[in-house]
Amino acid sequence: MSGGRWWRRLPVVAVVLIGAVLVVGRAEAAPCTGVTCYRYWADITMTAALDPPTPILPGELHGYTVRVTNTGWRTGGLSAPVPYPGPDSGLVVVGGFGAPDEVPVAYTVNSGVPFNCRYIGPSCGVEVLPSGASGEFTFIWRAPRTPGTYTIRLWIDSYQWTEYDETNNSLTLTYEVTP
Amino acid sequence: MIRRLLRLLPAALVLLWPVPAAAAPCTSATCYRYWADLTVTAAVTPSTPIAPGDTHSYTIRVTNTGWRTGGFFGPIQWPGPDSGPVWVGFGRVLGQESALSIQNDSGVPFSLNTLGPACGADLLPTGTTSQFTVSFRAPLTPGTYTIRITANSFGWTEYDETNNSTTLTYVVS
Repeated sequence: MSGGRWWRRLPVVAVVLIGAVLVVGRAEAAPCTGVTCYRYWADITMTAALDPPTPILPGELHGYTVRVTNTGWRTGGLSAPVPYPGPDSGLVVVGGFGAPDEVPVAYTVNSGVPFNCRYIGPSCGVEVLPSGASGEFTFIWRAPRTPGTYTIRLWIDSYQWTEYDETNNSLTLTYEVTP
Repeated sequence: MIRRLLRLLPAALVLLWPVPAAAAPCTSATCYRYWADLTVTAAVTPSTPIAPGDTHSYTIRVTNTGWRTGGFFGPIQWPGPDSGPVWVGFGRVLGQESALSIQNDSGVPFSLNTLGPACGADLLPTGTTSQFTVSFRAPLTPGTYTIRITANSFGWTEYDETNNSTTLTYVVS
């Protein structure tokens, strides 16, 4: 092929390439089912501990130290789901605090993304938890005055957004109040 | 000669590179840790028996003592970090006693949360003491009452978690 012919065919090749790029662009908008198609998720999980640990004296202050994490996940393609940088979460709310006769007193932000707590309908929340980020806080309560064994179930909710795993969002804490 | 020097260069770099060693766990004889430690004392006023429903008060002193641990020596008092949030609670209040007000006498001021009741401050600098007085309405039922006052370190770790309480007894007659 002479140099002149090569130059004459160049516009045609360019048009074909641009067309191919446009077609690929439309394919990306199609349902995400191909082996090269991935989805990215947020997943919130929680750990919690009693401070001080059980047993507690009647009427003493005690705290629930809660740590909430947004772990990113990637699904799709040829591989199994793997932890991967994902999107920010939506609104996250932690609830379930308070055994009968427990009274909310205060909360402290320990580290990470700062949660806010409210005392009526006691719960703690944050609007956004970035991927890979955590927030830790301690919700302080006055323990029941009646001795006994108390169990609370803390839960964490992803309001109006879908997370990777909705089944790993609660845990149970048990403590004893002894005189 | 130059080749021999070039061979020695990597060894010299390893010897002169101190950063990874500095990031190692703090276990060596020259490694120290510094702590805050809360202690509390309290007195009830008046100390004599009070009439049912009268006002009485607790004067509370909370101190942050700094400590140093590690190295060749045993733990010693030493300027440490500021404390985290401090919450003073009144355990075993029987529900007949209600918190009325707080007066800050000295040091970092505490605020009264009547929900607990509890008194809180965001931090206590090392080597400082806060003193405040909380007024309560005494129970209406005569008897001997015991109250346990505790300075809590929620969400942070102090040097000694076992020296944060004191107990007071008073008589309503």
